[in-house]
Amino acid sequence: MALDVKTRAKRYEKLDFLGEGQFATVYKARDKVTDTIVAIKKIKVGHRTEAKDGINRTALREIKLLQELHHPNIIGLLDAFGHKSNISLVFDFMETDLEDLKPNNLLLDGSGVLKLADFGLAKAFGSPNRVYTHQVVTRWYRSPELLFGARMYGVGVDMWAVGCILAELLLRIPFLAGDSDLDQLTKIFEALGTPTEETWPGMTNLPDYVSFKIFPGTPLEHIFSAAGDDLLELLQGLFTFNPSTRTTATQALKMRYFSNRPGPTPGAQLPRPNSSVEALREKETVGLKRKIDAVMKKKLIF
Amino acid sequence: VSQPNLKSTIRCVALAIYYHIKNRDSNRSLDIFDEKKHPLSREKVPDDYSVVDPEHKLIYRFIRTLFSSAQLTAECAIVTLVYLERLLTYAEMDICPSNWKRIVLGAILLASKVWDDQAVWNVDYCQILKDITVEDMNEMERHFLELLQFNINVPASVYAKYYFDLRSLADDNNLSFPLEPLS
Repeated sequence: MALDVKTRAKRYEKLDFLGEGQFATVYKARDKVTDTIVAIKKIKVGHRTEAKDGINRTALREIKLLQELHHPNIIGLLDAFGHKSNISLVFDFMETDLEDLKPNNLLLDGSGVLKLADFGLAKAFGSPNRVYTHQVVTRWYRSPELLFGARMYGVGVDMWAVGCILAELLLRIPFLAGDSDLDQLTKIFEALGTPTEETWPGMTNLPDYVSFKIFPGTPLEHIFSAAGDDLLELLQGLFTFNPSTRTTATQALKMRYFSNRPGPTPGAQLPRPNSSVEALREKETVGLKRKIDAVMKKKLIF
Repeated sequence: VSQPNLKSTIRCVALAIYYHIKNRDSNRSLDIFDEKKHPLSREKVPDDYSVVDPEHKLIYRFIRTLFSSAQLTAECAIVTLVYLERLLTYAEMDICPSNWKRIVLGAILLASKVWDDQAVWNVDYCQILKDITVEDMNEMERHFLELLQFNINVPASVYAKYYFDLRSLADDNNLSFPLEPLS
């Protein structure tokens, strides 16, 4: 017999509020059974929808996918429980804050291992010619084919998002921050140049296609002035308009950027917010400062 | 990859449910699935509602009505059977005359919610079964999920096993399960 809900919810002791998104609130909690720290994502009750559709459908789909996926770079779902029409998902605790690929959904664990989170819209990759909804992926990371209403799309949409994330890492601000779908396309074309039927065959046949002003685009080396040739080459591949020739994950990993020096910093050595490493460094700085102060005082005295 | 034929899949799933009811050893149930405690229709529940096993045809019609009205797919019918059997195992209960309709309805509702792209909202089932309330559907869904302990994933291997088991069930019962060319 299944444990009753109250018992299951009582298993976790709420410790801290971690963050709040549009659809969920995340808490830090202690699992009393295993004595480990976990993150609990409590799906917000959307009153009107909830009355008409019961348990949050997106949350259920996220649970289903996380039960299917087991990978070192995907956040692990430890448990799920409900209380009234609320639903809570229990995850491994991640030091950084908690389908769509965007920096907010990329987490780092205590050893600096990257984990993907938030699979509410992710779906199993089925037959490539199946009709999908195009309202996926947070707008700033959305590929031009999705913005033009494509119903048949593939992994290219994720590679576009990867390009946007990579660009954001370089710029430290979102690369293409449109405030509407049309503005998003404008931002894309201003930066990368307006595609044509020659550079992107089939574009003009997409359901929501509208013709845009012809922008020449800015060379990537001017936008990302600190990036080397190998990195620019990778960005160029990811920002290919034609989804069928856009760089795939496999192709990207074979590109020079990933083998050229310098190699990546080992996960455990990455700087982290409030991490022991950083705290240690801070202590060192403080210690050093005191020493300097002491020296200075001495100097002043003598 | 082609979809299994909808009509024959539903017929087979109904047959599997029919045998579950027929071959049960006891009548362990839960109130939330009891038709007398939570009626699906305003008509008086007959006194023998908990005694007479439903015919295959009745089960088939019940499922077919839901599937055609909500435009559900054959895959969804197979997942319905997975969830139904999982519920019986996890909750240690039997599917019997008094609860089969609500268990089947709950399994269909959950299967379409988790797997279908085209959204059928809980409230939409109230259009199909006129006398049910959305509050009742929501409560049943909640119970169903908690009894499953939120184990709603169906790995491809489990799906394939059910598909082939349904095919052999069709064979054993001289039901047709036409093979369709892969598209």
